[in-house]
Amino acid sequence: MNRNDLFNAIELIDAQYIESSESRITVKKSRKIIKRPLLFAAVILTLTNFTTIAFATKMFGLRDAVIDTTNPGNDITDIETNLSLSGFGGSNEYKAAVEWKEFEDCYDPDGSILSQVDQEGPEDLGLDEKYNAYNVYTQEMADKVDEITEKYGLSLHTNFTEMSYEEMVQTVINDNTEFTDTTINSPLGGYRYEDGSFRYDGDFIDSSRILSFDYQLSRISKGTFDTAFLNIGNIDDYQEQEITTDSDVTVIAALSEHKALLLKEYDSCVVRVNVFGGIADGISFDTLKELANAFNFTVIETKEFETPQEEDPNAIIGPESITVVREGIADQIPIELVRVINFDTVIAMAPEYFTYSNEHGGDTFTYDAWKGERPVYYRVNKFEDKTPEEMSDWLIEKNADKYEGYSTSESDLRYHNVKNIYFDSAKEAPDYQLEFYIIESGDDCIIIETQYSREMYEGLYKIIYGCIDLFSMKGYGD
Amino acid sequence: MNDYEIIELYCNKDPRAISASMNQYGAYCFSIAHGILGNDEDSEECVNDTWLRAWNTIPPTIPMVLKIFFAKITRNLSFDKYKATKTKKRGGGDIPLVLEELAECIADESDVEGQVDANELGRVINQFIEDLPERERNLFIRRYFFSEPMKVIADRYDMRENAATVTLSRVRKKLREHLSKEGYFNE
Repeated sequence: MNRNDLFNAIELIDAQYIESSESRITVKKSRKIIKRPLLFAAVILTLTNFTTIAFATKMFGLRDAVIDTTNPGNDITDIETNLSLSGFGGSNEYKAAVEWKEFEDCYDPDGSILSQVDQEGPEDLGLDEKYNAYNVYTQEMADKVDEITEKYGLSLHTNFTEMSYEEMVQTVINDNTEFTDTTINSPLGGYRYEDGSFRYDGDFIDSSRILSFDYQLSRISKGTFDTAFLNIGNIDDYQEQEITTDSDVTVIAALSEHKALLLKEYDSCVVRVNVFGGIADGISFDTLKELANAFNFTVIETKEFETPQEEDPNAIIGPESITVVREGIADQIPIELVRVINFDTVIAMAPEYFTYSNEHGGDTFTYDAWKGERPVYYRVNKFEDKTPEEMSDWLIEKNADKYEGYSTSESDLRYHNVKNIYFDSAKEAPDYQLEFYIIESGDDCIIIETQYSREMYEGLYKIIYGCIDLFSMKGYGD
Repeated sequence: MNDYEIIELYCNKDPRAISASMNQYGAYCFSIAHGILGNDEDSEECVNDTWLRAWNTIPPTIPMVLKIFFAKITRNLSFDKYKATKTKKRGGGDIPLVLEELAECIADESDVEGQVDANELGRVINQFIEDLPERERNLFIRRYFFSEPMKVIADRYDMRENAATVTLSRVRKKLREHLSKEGYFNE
C-alpha cells in the first residue's frame, strides 16, 4: 500500500459524512486586504474574524443595527446580514457605517484597482497615515472617509497599538485574573486605538473545565468611525436573553446553533463579545452568563489609554525569559501560554504530543510515553557580559552538589553552537534531571534551563529546539 | 432545478443534464479540482470530464447525493491528472502536502500503487471515520478528501490553524493504529 492507495480509498468515505463536513461552510468572497502594515493588522481582525459572527437583534432595537441583508443564493441559509459594530440605528456611528458599507460594496467591485495598487506597491499610495486603520487604498476612498466623518461628526481611529497581555487583563478581565474558582478567561492578543476602542482574541474555559471556546471582544468608542461589521446568518436562528452578571451589569446574550454573542451598550461605547461556538458545541445561556461574569464591564466602559510612546529602536524589547502567563485547557488539552523572549508562544502539552506555535509558525511533535502526570519546567535567561564558559563554570558550581553527577558537552543545535551541562538524578528526587543549554550571543549568552523527569526527555528536547528556533528568528545567538 | 430533476435528465439522456450540472455544481467541482491540481486549465478540464463521466454512469447508477457524487468523480479525475502531470511540475495545490501527511498513516510504502483491495480499504476507512468525533471527522474529510489548505479548514471551523493541525496529527496517528489493527501492516 502507498499514499496514493490511501488517498484513493478516502474517496469511498460515505457521502453523508462528506456532506456533513460541509455543513459549516462559511466561505465568502472577501475583499482582498491591501498590505499596508497598520491596515493589515487592523483590518484582518475585523474582516476575517468578525464576518462570520451572528446574533439576534430583537432587543434594544438591535435590529436597527442591520446594515444590509443579501441573499446571493436561492437557499434560505444563504441569507447574509451585516450589522454595524459601532452603533445602532439612528446613531451617527451607525449611519456612517451604513454609508461606508454602501460605498464599499459598489467601489472596485472586481478588485481591479486593488490589484493595480498591489502591483505598484502599496507604499507608493501617497495616502495620509490617518487612514491606516481603514481599508482605504485610493484617494477616492480616503475622500469618502473624510466626507462621512465630517457629515456625522466622527473622528478616525488613531495610534494603533498592540495590547500587551497585562493591559488586556487589566482592561477586561474581572478581578484582573484569568483564574477564578470556577472559570478561566484568557486574553490572547489584540490591539487598541488612542480613542479607547480595542479588539482582542481570548479563550474561555467554563466551570466544567472541559468546555472551552474562543471569543473576540470589541469595544468601539462612540464618536469614532469604525467600518467593521458583523456578517450574520439568519437572525431568526438566534435565541436571546437578558443576563445580569454578579456585578449587576445587564447584557444581552444571543445564542444559535453555532454562534453566540454578548452585547452591551454604554453611553461611551459599544461592547460586543463574539463567541465562536454555540448550542452544538455545548454552549448554553448559563455558559454565557459565566463568560459575562468573567469580564470587568465597568473598566471596559471607562477605559482610557495613554498615548503610546515612540519606541526606542535600541531598546531591548520584551521580557528576557520564558514566563508562563496562562494555563488552561483548550479542546481538552492542557495548554500554557508562555512568553518566549518577544513572542507569545503557545506550548501545548497532552499525553500524545507537544506543540508550540506563535505568529511565526508552529510545530507539532509526538511523545507517546508522557501521560501528562509530570510537570515540565523550562526557563530561558539572557546573561549579559557573560561568556558560555563563565556561565558553565558558575552553573556547575551552583548545582553539582545537588545531583549524583554531571557531564558537559558541546553540540550543534539548529545551527547554534551550544554548550550543554547535564546533571543526572537529583539527590532529593532521583527521577529528575537538570540540563542547561548555553548559547553564545555576541558578548552575552542565552541559557535555557530545563528540569524534567526521565520520561519527559524527548518532549522537552523538542521544546528546546522550539526555543532555539525562536532565538534564530530574533537574531539571538546568530 | 433540483437534484432529482438533474438526475432525471441524465436518466433520459437529455443534454440539458450537462448544463444543469455545470450551473449547479460547476464552481463546487472546480474548487475541488483546483485544490488538487492548483491550476485553472487542468481543473476546468477535470470538471468538464466530470459531467461526461456522470453521463456515462447515470444510469444505471443513481446517485444518492448528487453533489457528493460529482465531488467524488472530480476528485478521482483530478488526482489521476495530478499523477499524470506532476513530473511536469504543473500546479499541485496542497496535494503534495496531503500525500506526505497520509504517508504517515502507513508503514513501509510500496512503490506499486493498487496492490490493496481498494473497496476493502475504503470499508476500513469508513469504519475508522464512523468512530471519530464529529469535528475530527470533518477535519479529516476537509483535508484528505477535499485537499483543503489548513488555513481554509481552520477558518471553516473557527479554529486556530495550529489547533487544526494538531488535531489532524492525532487523527493520522489514530488512522495508522487502525490500519495496523486491521492487518495492513505490523507496527
